[in-house]
Order: sequence, then C-alpha cells, then structure tokens
Amino acid sequence: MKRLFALGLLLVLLPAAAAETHTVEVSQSDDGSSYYFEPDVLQVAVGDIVRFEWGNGSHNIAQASDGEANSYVSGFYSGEPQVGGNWTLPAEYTETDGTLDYLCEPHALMGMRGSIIVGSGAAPIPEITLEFGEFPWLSYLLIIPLLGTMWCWGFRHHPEAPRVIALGTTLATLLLSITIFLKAGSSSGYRLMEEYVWSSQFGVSLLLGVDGLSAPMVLLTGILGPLTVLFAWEEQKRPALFFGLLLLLQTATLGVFVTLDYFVFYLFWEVVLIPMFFLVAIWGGPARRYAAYKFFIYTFTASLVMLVGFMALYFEAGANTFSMIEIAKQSGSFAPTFQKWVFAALFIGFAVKMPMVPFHTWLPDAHVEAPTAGSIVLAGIMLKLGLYGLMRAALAPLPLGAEYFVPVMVALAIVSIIYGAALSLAQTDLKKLVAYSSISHMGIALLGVATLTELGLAGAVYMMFAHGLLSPAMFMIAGVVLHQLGTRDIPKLGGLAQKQPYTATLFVAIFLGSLGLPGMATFVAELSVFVAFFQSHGYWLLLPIFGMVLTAGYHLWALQRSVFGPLSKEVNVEKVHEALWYEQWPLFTIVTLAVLFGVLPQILMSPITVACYDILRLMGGV
Amino acid sequence: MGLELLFPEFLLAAAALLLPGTYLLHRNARLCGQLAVATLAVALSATWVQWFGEGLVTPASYFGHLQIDVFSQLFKFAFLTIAFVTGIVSLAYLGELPHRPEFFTLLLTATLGMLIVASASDLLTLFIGLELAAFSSYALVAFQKRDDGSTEAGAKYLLIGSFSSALTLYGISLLYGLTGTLSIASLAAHNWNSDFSGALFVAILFITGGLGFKVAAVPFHAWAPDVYQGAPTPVTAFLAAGSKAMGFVALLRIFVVALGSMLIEWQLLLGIIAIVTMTVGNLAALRQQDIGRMLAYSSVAQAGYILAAFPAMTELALGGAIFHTLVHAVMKGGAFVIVAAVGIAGLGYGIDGYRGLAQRSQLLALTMTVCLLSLVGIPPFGGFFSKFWLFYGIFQAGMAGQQWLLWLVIAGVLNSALSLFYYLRVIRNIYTEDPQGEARPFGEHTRYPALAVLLLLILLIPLEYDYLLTLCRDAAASLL
Amino acid sequence: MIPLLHYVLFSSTLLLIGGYGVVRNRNAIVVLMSIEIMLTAANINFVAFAEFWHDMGGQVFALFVIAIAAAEVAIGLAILLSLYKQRDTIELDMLDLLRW
Repeated sequence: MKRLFALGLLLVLLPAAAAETHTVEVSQSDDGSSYYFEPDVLQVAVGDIVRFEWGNGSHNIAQASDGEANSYVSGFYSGEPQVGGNWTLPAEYTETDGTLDYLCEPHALMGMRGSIIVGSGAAPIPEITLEFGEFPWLSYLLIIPLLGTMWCWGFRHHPEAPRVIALGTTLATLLLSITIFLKAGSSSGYRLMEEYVWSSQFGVSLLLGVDGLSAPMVLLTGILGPLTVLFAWEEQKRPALFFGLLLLLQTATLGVFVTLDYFVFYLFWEVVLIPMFFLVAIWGGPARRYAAYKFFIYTFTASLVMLVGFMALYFEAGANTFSMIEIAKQSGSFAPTFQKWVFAALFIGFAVKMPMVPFHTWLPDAHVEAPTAGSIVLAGIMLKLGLYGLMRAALAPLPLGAEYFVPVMVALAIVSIIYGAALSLAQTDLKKLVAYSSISHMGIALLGVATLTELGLAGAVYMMFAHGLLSPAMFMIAGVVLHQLGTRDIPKLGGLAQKQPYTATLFVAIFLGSLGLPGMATFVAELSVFVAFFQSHGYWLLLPIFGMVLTAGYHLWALQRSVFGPLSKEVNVEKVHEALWYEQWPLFTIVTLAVLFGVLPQILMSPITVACYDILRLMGGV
Repeated sequence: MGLELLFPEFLLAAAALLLPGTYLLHRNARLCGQLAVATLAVALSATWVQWFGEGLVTPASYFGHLQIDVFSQLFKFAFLTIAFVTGIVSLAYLGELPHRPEFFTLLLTATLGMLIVASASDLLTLFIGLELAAFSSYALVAFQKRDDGSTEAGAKYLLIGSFSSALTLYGISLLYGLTGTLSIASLAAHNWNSDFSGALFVAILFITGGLGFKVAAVPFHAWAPDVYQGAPTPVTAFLAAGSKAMGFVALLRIFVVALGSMLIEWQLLLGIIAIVTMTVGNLAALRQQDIGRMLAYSSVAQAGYILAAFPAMTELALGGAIFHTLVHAVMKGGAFVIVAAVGIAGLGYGIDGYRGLAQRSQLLALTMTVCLLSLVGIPPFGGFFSKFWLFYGIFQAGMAGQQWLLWLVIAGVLNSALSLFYYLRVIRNIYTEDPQGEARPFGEHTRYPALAVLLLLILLIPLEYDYLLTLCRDAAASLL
Repeated sequence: MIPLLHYVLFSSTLLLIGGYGVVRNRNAIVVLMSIEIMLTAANINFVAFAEFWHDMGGQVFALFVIAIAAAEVAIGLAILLSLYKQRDTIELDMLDLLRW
C-alpha cells in the first residue's frame, strides 16, 4: 500500500519535476522609444512555468484574444501596472497545447505584445465521437411523414381517411422518435449517423445524426405530431391538403433537427416555410392573407442573410465540405472580424425565427390568424428552430463572434423577456397573450445561451422543450375557448370552471406550468438559466426576474378572469361543456409530460448537458 | 469527320422547306403541325443519341464556321426541347386558326437559328443565326394578325429588335476593324494593343446594347413586357425560354470566349448592368396586374442574376450561369404553359384570373406554384439549386480576390427576397381565393407538359443537380 | 487611295443619322428605313476594313448583311402592313394598346 502511494506520488510529481522555468523580461528602453517583452515569442513545453520579471517602467500583463487586440477582455491578468517585481503565469494556462497572446495594457498601442506558444501551439481539436448506426433510423424518421403526406393526398376525395392516415403516421413517427431518443443515449458525440453524398464536387451530403441537443427536439416533434392531428380531428375544409401539409411540416422540422450539413440544413429550414404559409393562408382567421404574407417575407429575407453567412463559412473553412462538424474544426483559423460579421449574419436569421424583439412583429399576426393546429406547430416546434440553429450552426464554428455578441444577446433577451411579458399583460385576446408570452419565454432561452456556460445552454434547451410542450397546450386552450364560446376576449369570459370542471383543472395545471411552478418542466429550465446568468452577470439577474413577476401576473390574471369568478353574462354560456375527447386527451398528455419532466429532469438533462459541454468544448471555452 | 453531328440542323432545314409543300399537296393543317412536332422529336432524339450514346470526346469543327462541343450540344438539346414543348402546346393553343402551317414552319426556322447560334464559331455565323431566329420570332409574335395586341407586339418587337441587331452589327464591324478577323478563336488569341482600348470599349458598348436586347437587360428591356403580353402565349413561352437562352449563348461566345482576354474592359460595365437589371426588373414587376407582364419583368430580373456571373469569369460561376439559364427556361417555360392553359380556358391573363385555380385543377395550380417558388429560389425546388450555385460561383470569385463581386451576390440575394412579394400574390390567389366565373375544362395537352415541368423541378433537378451542374461546368470549361 | 479614317468617319456619320432617325421619327416606315441606314453604315465598315486587312471575310459579311437587310424589310413591311390594316395608321405614338 505504501509503495503504491509512493508510486502515485511519484507519478504526480514527475511532470512537475520535469517542468522548466522560463523568464520573460518586461521592460522598456531608457528613452521610452520602445516597449518590449523579451523574448516576445516564447516557446514552452506543456507544463512549463513562465515567470515575468519587470525591468524599466510601469507595466502589467493581460491576456489578449489575439495578436491584434488592444485591450484585456478575459484570461490571465497580473493586476494594475506595477514598477519592478515579478509575476508567475498561473499553471493552468500551460497545461494544454495552445497559443497565449498577451499585452501590456498601458503600452499595447506602442506594440508591447508577446505570445507564449505552449507545446505544438495549436489548440487541441476536441475529438467528437461520430457513431454510424447499423440501421438507418433517421432516414425512416424523415421518410415516414413524407410518405404520409403523399398517402393523405392520395385519399383526397375521402373526407374521413386523411385524418386517420395522419394519426397513424404521426404515431409511427412518435414511436420512431422515442426509439431514437433512447438510442441517442447520453454520452458525448453524434449517434445514429448516416451519410448520403449528394454532390461530391462541393461536399454536400445528407449527413444525419443526433446528439443530446437534437434528440430532445426530435422527441418533442414526435410528441406534438399526434397531438396536433388529434386536435384538428374535425377539420372539414380540404382535409387531405391540411393533414398532408401538417405531415410535410413535420418532415421539414425533423429534417432541420437531424441534419449536420449546412446546405441541407438551409434546405429544410426553408421547406418549413412553405407548408406553414399555406396552413395560415388557407385555414387561418380573417386577416390570414396578410399574416401569411408577412410571416413568409420576414423569415425568408432573414434566412437569406443567414445563407450568405453559411456560404462565407464554407469558403473560409476551405475544406470543400458543408459538414458542420468539419467546418467547426476549422474555427481556429477564422479571423475575429470575419467571425463577428458571420455571426451577425447568422444571428439575424435565427433571431427572426426565435423571434427576438425587434424582429418579432410577424409572430403575433401569424399566431392570431393561424388555425389552432398551425399555432401548435408554430409555437411548439418552429420557434425552437431559431435557437436550435444558433446552438448547432453558429456557436461552434464562431466562438469569438459569439463572445463578441454576448452583450447584444443578453440585451435582446432581457428586452424580449420584459417586453413580451408587458405586452402579454396588455392583451385581452387569449391567443395574442399566449403569442407574446412565447416571445418572453424564448427570451429566457436566449439568455441561457448568452451565458455561454454549460448550465446556461442546458437550461436553454430545457426551456425549448418545456415551452414546446406548454405553449401548444395554451394554444389548445385558446382553441377550445374559441370553439365553445365564439370569442377569445378574456374580459368577456368567466366562470368556465363551473361549466367544465375537469377541463378547467387541466387549464389551471397548464397555466401554472407555463408560469414556472416548481415541479413542472418550465421551472427546471428557468432555474438553470437564472443560476447560470447570475454566475456570469451577477445582479443583472434582477431584470429577468422582474420579467418573471410580470409573467406570473398575466398568467394569473388570465386564469382568474376566464376560469374562475362568476359565470360570464356577456357571452352565451349555455352550450359550454367539457372539452371533447380529442381535445382533452392532448391536454391531459401534455400536463402529464410537463409534470414528468418537472419531477425527473435528469431524463432530459443528462443528454442535454453532455451535448452542451461538447459545444463549449468545440468553442474552446472549456 | 462526317457531318452527322449536324444532322439536327439539316433535318430542321429540310422540314422547314418541306412543310409548306406538304400543305400545298394535302391541305391538311393538322398534319403539318404534327409533322413539325415529329421533326423536332427526331432532332431531339438524334442530339440525345449523339451526345450520350456515343459520348462527345473532342470538339468537332466545320469549315471554321461551326463548332460542336459540350457547350453547343447542351444548348442544342435545350433549344430542341423548348421547341418541342412549344410545338405540343401550340397544337392545342392554335386550335383551328388559319395559317397554322406557316406557324410551324416559322417555329422550325426559329429553332434552326438557335441551333446555329449554339454552335457558331465565327461572328458571321453567329449573326446569321441570331437574325434567322429573330426574323422568325417577329412573325411568330405577330402571328394572330386579327388580334390587335399580337400585331402591335410584333411591330414593336420588329422595330426594337432590328434596331438592336443593327447596333450589334456595327459593334461587330468595329471589332473586325480592330482585329482583322471574324473567327471567335482568333479573336480570343488576338494580341490586344492597349492603344485601341477606347475603340474596343465602343465596340463592346454596341455589342452589349444589341445582345442586351435579346436577354432583356436594362436599359434594353422595354420591349419584353409588351411582347410577352401581346404575343400568342406559346410564342411567349418560346421567347422567354429559348430566345433568352440564345441571347446568353451569344453573350457567352462573344464576351467570355472572344473578348475573355479583355475582361478588364467590360467587367465593370456588365456588373453594373446586372445589378440595375435585377433591381429594375423586380421593382417593375411589383405593380403588374397582367400575368404576362409580371413574368416578363421577372424575366428581366433573372437576366440580371445570370449576367452577374459574367464579371466573375470563373468556370464555376459560368457553369452556374449556364445551369440557371437552362433551369430558368424550364421554370419560365412551365409558367407560360400554365398561363396558356388558363388563357385557353377563358380565364383571361390578369392575376385575378388565377383566383381559386387550385379548385379548378390541382395539377396546374401545383405546377404554377412550384414554378413561381422556383423562380424566387426557394428550396427544395429546382430554381434554388441553380440560383444557389450561380451565386456560389460568384461568391467564390469574390472571396478569391475581386471583393466587389460580393456586392453582386448581396444585390442578388436582396432581390430574391424582393421578388417574393409579387410571386406570392399569384400563389395567394391560386390557393386562398374562391374561383369566380365559369371556365372551360383544361385539356390533356397542357397536363403532360405541366406534369413534366413539375417532375423536373421537384424531382430531377434537386436530386441530380450534381450531375447537371457537372455538365454545365464542362460546357463552361469548353468555353474558357 | 482614300485613307481608312475617312471610311470610318463616313460610316459613323451614317450610323448617327440612322440612330437619330430611329429615335426621333414616329412613322414606322421611316424608322425601318433608318435601321437600314444603320446596316449600311456597318456594311461600309466591313468593306473598308476588309480592304485594309486584305481579308475576304469582311466582304462576305457585307454580302450576307445585304441579304439579311432585304429579308428584314420584307418581314417588317408585312407586319407593318397588317398593323395598318387594323389601325389605319403606322404612327408609333398610336401603338398604345400595350403600354409602351
């Protein structure tokens, strides 16, 4: 035992014993004409110690993001400028290969810079495991809803058949997505990968794969599929086209979630627009044409900007491939300015989809006019695409760009949280209220991403999932209310609990879940994001907390006015009854799931955390 | 070296001569139409066999006037296909109108002119081909001589067209004066003396003016809306798909091949024309109420996108431009096939005529929607792929050195977003409105072309774009 | 021997005259004639340059252009005639059925 201990001690001490100490002189010439570090480029081995010794003048040592930066942002720091003395670089900075740039703050502009090359100099590229599956699960996931679309279309002269086909297809997709979620597991890297080369000369391929980030999204899409179909069970107007488009929408969104190739990602991203446009334009409310138009043009324009960003990434990487994995590997060679511009382009594309204030104006229109099934997909899945895209496509290849835009993202997120909540408070239309609350909730998720920490990112993904369950449920409620009372105007409602006690219970559960009641899924997400945000930004947390107070306010107000209180006299309440079976079951399922994921968050949290850790690893932040 | 590669040209020439004779002997107009379509089908399959069956290894040159290479075969194939589809649609569209044999004869001669342009290897042959196609199309546009619009469109097309070809001719004569040769290959090899750059620029201006008319580039686009609106719709489809592609073939031959070494002289000129063309085209299309005029202005805008590839002058950009030219022929041709069908059904040529089209015919509505979304460049339809690789090529050239080319990409992308406004208006009418008024049923003859266009745009081009783009890049490589 | 410059000046003058005729005239027949003048200008260039370069290509081109011009007039007059039959006018200002 003693020997073993000694051996262990030796092993631990061996590297330390071998460590060499290097000295860098921090000085200036006597006449002040030149300021220098000597040597300015220092080559050290991994584990070596670097000591700085002051000569003439008052200097300090601060890490710089690159060889041209003029100020200290983050990293090692020797303190305020000092005269004489010495300082040793903390040991953790020389533990891995990489290049450390630093400068002297008062004299950076006079060219007082230096760099330390540790080991090979290149930051080690984190290895991300790629696991190709033996069975093409993901292809089936994409093909089955597509086949369902055509099948529905084939039965277009049959009023009853399309909905049965759609339900069958979505149930099959649900089973597949559960399987995929389970198979994806919670270890690092991509799983179930498939690759079909589409264009070898440009490196486009249908590269599919899931990780802890996409698997929950696939699961969410799978869950919402049958619920949407059930909720639209009584659709009378052109049912074949309606259900066909719903299934097509499901294919496209699943495609966005499982593809790992920028080109194909963009392809699916745009395909999402087409069925959604028709869903709003044909089955929507009175102003549906305007809403559909606005939705299409807003998101299309933004995604064109995003496309230019993708192309710039592709060319700058020079790897002749659109694969996200390969391009992320090149991120070390992207210049900071380039990263800023490209991140800005991608962020515009994603922010419109999220949507963040000030790009949000299409959302309330689209939601209010969309049929309930359209709203469910819009709120449940489509709003997630933006944030998912940000995490999947923008963070890993553009770490410096992302860091540069952290303040912007935080500001937009906070504004969205408060603005969304405040506008919700002012709405009387139940559906509009839910629409604005989506903006607020997605703001919380963006806030999580903006922290660029594992907990924050994980909280954001959890928020996407939780909101993806509860927001559709709120739209379903709005649908039920409109269906039975002919109005969604909250002041006109009241006392629904007396007429439909069971349904009202579900309403209450969903509203409380949405406002973040402990024990429900949203709470887990909000807690993680807020903790992460507090760690990175301190008391700025009070602003989003204030938004949460408003959120609680409008949820409770709406609940109290519509469900409780005396029976409304302004609308005809005679016909109010319990929600129909095809309305109750989806609501009940969602409440169950929200509680399940609120009580047992680790089911989702473990894969999500691993995936977020991978992203941060690729960004070089861990 | 046999003449068998020129078989399609000989066949069309012979048929164009025989057709009137057949009519005089048999007095059977319907037979003449079918004969013309059959001729086109034979020529098409002959090109197909020569191209794919035997494979085209080395370019074949005939008397220094014609040259058959990958580029020319590609476009010959495209022109014959366009003429074939136009022929089929015309059979139905013309119905029992008088003078049908003349119509089909003119269709054959116009196609012959295009084939000659596709394989011309000196400026004389090129010019003769252009004029042959142009004269035939003047008459085709004015074909319905009892119809005011058709005649007026014909007169306008004639006057502007011959004016512009006079300009081209003058430009060619200056070019000849500067170099002493008419052969495109010798022009390309010419050792330019920089003293003449002023005169060369004038020659380039004249040629740009003349060929800019063919592709409807701003400021030579004014004829397009009038002619597209007034001409019989199959002819419009033929012009929009074929004549425009022919203009690009001529532009490619003259600018990229003959004047490729003097890139610096015309690069900026074409770049500016490209940006102005796409912007003006899209802005003007926004407020059109007539579908023909709207598609005409959209055609102007598309010419702008394609022209943007010229200043880049890389194999990839030009390959993308050729690809987009061909896909544009499919989309625009397809859209006009639907416009013709809607017109025959008595629904008129306004955008309002498309209200509730989805409830009248699912297939036509779907095809129209796919064609329009393709024109915007929305995935997953064919137009997205050609447009993407077109801008990809320009982007690459821009990243490789000439930064200003990136502005062309940005302008193109913004314009695509702008174009969405007017295409969506038609799509909205098709799906969200209820049909108004009675319409005759749509015939079988438009169904098949519509279905073919649909399959091309949603299956063949998206799935096989890699192969098609390789073909286009080979064609571009044979130019450079 | 007349210097080349004179031919070029002459042909550019003809081109300008033709161009002016096309732009200013409202009568379709006159416009057609002006276009013919422009073609002639190009022809003079071709012949002069052919002589200068001692190359027959230019002269052949000129012959072809003459033929093309004749065909153009034929088809042009035919279309204008049918226009005249319908409108009783060939003034271009009257062609306003389609917005010009």
